[in-house]
Amino acid sequence: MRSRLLLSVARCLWTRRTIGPARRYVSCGTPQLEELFARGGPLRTYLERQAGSESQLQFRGAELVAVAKLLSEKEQELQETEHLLHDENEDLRKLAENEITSCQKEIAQLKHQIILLLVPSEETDESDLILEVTAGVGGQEAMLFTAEMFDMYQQYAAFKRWHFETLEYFPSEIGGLRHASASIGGSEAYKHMKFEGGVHRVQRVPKTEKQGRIHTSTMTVAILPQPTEINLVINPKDLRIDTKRASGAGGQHVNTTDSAVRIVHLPTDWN
Amino acid sequence: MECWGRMLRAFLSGPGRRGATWGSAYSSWQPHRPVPGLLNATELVSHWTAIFEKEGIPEAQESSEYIVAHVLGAKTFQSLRPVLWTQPLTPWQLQCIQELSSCRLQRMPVQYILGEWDFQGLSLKMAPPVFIPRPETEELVEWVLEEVAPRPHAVGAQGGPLILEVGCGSGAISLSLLNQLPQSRVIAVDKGEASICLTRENAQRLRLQDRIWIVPLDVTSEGSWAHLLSWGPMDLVVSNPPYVFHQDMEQLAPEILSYEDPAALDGGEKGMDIITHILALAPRLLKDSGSIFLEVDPRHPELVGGWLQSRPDLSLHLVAVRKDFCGRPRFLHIRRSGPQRGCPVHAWPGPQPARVPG
Repeated sequence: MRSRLLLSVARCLWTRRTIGPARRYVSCGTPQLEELFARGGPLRTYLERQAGSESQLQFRGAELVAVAKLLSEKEQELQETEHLLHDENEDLRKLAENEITSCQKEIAQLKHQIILLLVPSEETDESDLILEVTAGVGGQEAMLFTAEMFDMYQQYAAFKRWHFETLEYFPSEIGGLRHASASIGGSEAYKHMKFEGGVHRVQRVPKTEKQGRIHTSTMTVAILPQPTEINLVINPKDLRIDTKRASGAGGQHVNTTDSAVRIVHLPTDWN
Repeated sequence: MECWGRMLRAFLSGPGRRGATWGSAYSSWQPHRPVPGLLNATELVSHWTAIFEKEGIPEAQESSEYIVAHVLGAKTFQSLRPVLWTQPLTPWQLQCIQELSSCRLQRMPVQYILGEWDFQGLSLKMAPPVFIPRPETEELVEWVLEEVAPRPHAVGAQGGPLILEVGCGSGAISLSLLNQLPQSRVIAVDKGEASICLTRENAQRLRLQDRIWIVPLDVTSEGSWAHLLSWGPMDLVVSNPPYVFHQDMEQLAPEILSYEDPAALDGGEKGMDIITHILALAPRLLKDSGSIFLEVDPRHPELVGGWLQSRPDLSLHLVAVRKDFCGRPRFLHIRRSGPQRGCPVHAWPGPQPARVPG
């Protein structure tokens, strides 16, 4: 493109000068964003340090460094283009303005990206999770709604190619769902599902409604992460073991199908 | 046995006669509330649970759940696909459930009703009157595995420990040991013909028949064991012998008394008869420092300790007593040869070790 070539040639002729006071950049984003990325500020220093260091300090270190580098290149480009705003050639001035606008947009985007990369991901983001749905206020209609929601999550899991296993399912008489729980596992399952927890509300004319009035019903979703490894140390002395076979002689004297054992953790009374 | 006859007739009846059987089944049925047409699994479980409870059948809900799940093709009710909980059942399924439930109303143990039961991760066929494996016995197998696994065994003709099981019943102990010790070989003996057949059948189901020899044998009859010597000295003797005290027999539940072979339970006056016979013949069959693992009544560790002391000729001493998951002393480890030593006790999981005179 002729205009781009012209512009890049012009820019080269105006290679930045290293001497002189720090320039104030034309604003690229909100004031808060600018403040965050102020020259000499802690964020800048951190990014420069990241770029300099060889080792990857955190999980997304490499990505962060790449984006920071891209940012500084773009800022340099912007600075060079600014000189052209004062050129005699009007065409060149116009080109420079357009270029500056798009540059500013890109710089703002890169800054947002850096901020996102800086947010540490939760340890549990990679975990599997347990999904629990319970019908709330609204009777049969709420249970129908719950069934629809559970179905939706099941299909979403299939879409994301997650493993979905129903653990409990308590239906209602007309095809609704009182309570259900499922185990979901797969890539970044918890990360995607973690914000689903809470009370969901629907306002519509229920199937069960004869007069066409709108009703509000609710259902709750609970998301519980299942970390793959838990380090837990329990002293056997803290455990009391109760069994249904505990009374009587046990062994050959008893034939039951339920050899269930209940373990009580004495300090917390948790069983 | 009458219950089996009815079940057999139900399963053998052809499609043409099914209607008649179905009708008669319903007429002899005493429902507590009218059956409203086709029920689903969950409703059926509640229905039968209520009936069992009214008739005083223990484990009403568990029995009902196992029966319904079995007819629907699953091992447990909870593992059924949730959609099956709400689907109406076919008349054939309802009939099967009714037949099986009427067996339960006659106090038949659930394991015999289902015809199979799990032990140490293996699915074993169950058939009356062969003794049903108890959950405690799984811990006996665990203990044997703990003791055997770390030690490499002297290579015999095929390698691996040679184990003798006395009173194999359904083959539970033998087959789980074979399953978890791929190099082992087992000689399983029992005086009951039904046990021999059932162990053989289970061995074939699990494809372990190549490493097990199943021999009809009564260890209490003099000299009957002599031909076992031809297999060579054994590394281990393991047994869950009949150990119920004779006076306790009549207090056992109807499930046990009416369906399980009393010979598999009754251990004589102090429950020691079979145990003492095993201990008496073991030194002649065991290698030097071979071991005996027994499941016993909680009163036996002391009795056995005392008895062994009275028989120094056997060169056996009680090495350890282990508790079952209910905290009762249940398992004995006895070793051949060596001087009498003190008897440390494995307390697991309870905190109070029993003191065994040694």
